[in-house]
Amino acid sequence: MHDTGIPALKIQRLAKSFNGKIAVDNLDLEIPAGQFHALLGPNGAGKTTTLRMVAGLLKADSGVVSIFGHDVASDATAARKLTAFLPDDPLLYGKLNALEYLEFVAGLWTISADTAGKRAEELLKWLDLWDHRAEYVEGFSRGMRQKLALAGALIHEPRLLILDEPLTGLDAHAARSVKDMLVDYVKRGNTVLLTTHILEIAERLAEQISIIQKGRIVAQGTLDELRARAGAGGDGHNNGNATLEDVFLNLTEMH
Amino acid sequence: MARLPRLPRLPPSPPGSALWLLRHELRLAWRSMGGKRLWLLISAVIVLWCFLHFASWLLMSFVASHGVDKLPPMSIIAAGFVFWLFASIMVSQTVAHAVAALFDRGDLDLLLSSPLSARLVLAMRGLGIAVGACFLPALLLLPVAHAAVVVGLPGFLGIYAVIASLGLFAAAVGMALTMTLVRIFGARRAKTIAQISAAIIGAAFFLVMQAQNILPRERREAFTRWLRDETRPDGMLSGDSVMWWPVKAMMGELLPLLLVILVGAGGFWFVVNLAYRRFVSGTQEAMSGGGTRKVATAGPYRFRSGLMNVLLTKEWKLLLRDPQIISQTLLQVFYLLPLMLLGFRGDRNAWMIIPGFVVISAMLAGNLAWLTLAAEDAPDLVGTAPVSLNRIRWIKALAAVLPVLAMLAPLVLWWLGRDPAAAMILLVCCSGGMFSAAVCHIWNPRTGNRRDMKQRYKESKLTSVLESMGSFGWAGMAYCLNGHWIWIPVALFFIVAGPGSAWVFGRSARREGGLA
Repeated sequence: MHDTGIPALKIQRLAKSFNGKIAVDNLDLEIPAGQFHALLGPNGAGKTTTLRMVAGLLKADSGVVSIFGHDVASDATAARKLTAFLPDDPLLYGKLNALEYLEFVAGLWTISADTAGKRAEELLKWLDLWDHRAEYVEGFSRGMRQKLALAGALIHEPRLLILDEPLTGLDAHAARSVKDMLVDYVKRGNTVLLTTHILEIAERLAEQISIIQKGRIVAQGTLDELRARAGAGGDGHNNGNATLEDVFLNLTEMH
Repeated sequence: MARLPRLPRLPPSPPGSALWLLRHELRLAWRSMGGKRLWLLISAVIVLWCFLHFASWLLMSFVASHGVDKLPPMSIIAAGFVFWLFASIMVSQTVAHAVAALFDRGDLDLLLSSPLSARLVLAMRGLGIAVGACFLPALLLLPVAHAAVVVGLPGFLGIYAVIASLGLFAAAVGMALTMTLVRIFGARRAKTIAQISAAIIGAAFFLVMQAQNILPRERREAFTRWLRDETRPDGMLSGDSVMWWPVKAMMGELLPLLLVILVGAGGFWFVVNLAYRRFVSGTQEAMSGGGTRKVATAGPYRFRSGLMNVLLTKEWKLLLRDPQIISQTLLQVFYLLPLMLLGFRGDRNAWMIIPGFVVISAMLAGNLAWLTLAAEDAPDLVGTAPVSLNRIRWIKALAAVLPVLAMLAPLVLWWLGRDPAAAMILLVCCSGGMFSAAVCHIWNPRTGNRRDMKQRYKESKLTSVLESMGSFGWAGMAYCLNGHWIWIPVALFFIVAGPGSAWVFGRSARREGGLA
């Protein structure tokens, strides 16, 4: 459904350091449209910094990021129109209710009121928030907030959805519905990039996994490819049905 | 990280003891006052204290040379009025602190679930509130006690006992009021009510001072007459009235002193027990969490569209729904009121009050602009929207300026018919002041937290200085346009210097992108 040639996200030699400390080190990453991609890495590997630069919230020291061919620095508006970014701890407005929040987000993305209203209703019903639509967000549990933020990210139907640790704080039921939703979203031709600590999520959902360590991508591929690499480079045992955890520990220790 | 100055060392106390708990309370109170400039504040207080001691020594020498019993009854009555004024200020303070200490701080669950006695925990918490409330009266009155001892009037040491009792009493009243409010209105609304009433009590003092400008003359005279009658020796408020016993207690009269101590300590003990029963039976409500509140939405909710429309609506909703913000801006609106009344009375001197309007409206707009711009709750969301950040910033500034403009509008319209020149100058200079305050936040973006409105001046000192430079410039301009042409260059200098410096200083912050 989308033109195939242009990658959903293309990162070239992206670099950022804070006070001389390198956070992202000439990182390259290309994600074709329609892929479910997971960015895995230990704490402090530069995942969030990378995502924030992709989302245009942080200026890169050098390097180019383009979203569906639009440079996020020079063609920011076009790039942002196609993107939604969900930070790990989304800050919402305590004194708005769920519907008002979605109205506001839709307004920022200049979605017409009619479309936004219908979509908000669908999203809230589907995320089990419809009964809470008139309550102030300050009374929401962490899981409810997370779901509302997700609804906000989806209300403008982005083609690239970037999520930082999306399942933190969700109960099993909510986590399942979010996972189903993400898979479904990709099936419809959209692209998802998420970071996670939870290896199981990457293992179950992602078609491609990138492992990030010290600000660069140290390995990339499908789970099987990564297994093979870890087996070849590591101590060699148990590589036939190694879990992603083994692979991850193996690869991140090697670098 | 800025290191906070440490609490002066208190003697070590075994964990879990009353002293240990009190120390915990005082440490929290100390830190909430804290800031890098705390030592500066303390030095200022010490200097002030030396001065007050000297002044008290002069006063008490005078009293001692004339004899204490020769004091005219009127002086006792005057001191009594001051005492009750203090008492009411202290109660308004303790209400605010009790809300925080009993419902807001969130550590009471931890303390009450510990093996310490709940009564002890609550008593120490109350004592913490009392100590905080005693600060101001102790600062002002203890020098009198010390000076009195020096000149040979040891009876005045009663001041110590009275301040302590007053502190306990204020803490008791504050806690009891808070718990009652919570019981009647629920935790959330009680907090709102407590905050708004604290603002009103604070502003009441100002309004009373202004009463003589505002009230019609007959009213004022009637009140003065009533006061004169009642304070005569046979009146309700004569020098012998029980109303003034606290003053007598301060001078060391035994019976009043005992009564004051009894009321203070007894009241405190009673309220602590009341709180204990309330908390143990689990009737308290936590401020945070739970208790979701339905917002009345009649029928289906209709979405708005258009960036301007949506953004303005969102900012205004957030301002209106936050009691803390309302109570704090209300204070400034109160300052505007007497000026408004003067304006509507249509004096010929209307011109003279325009600079006042400019300064206050710019201050209000600056505060609101800080809230809409620096204290954006979801900068990530706004920052990723496909809209130019500058446009968002200007709309947010507009959201801050328009409400204040709406408040001024009736006056502008009223003046338009009588003195169009004054109306135009009021409109132009107020708008100028407000926009220059807002622009400081656009051009020198700094992140802030809505919850910390009081901290704002400490954190972005530069922005607030630049803000006031601009607003004083515009106020000066209003003054100059009233025929003082020669000063216009000075006013212009400030008008340009405030926002101009914000533009220069904010270059790197703007380049970093992000909303603030």
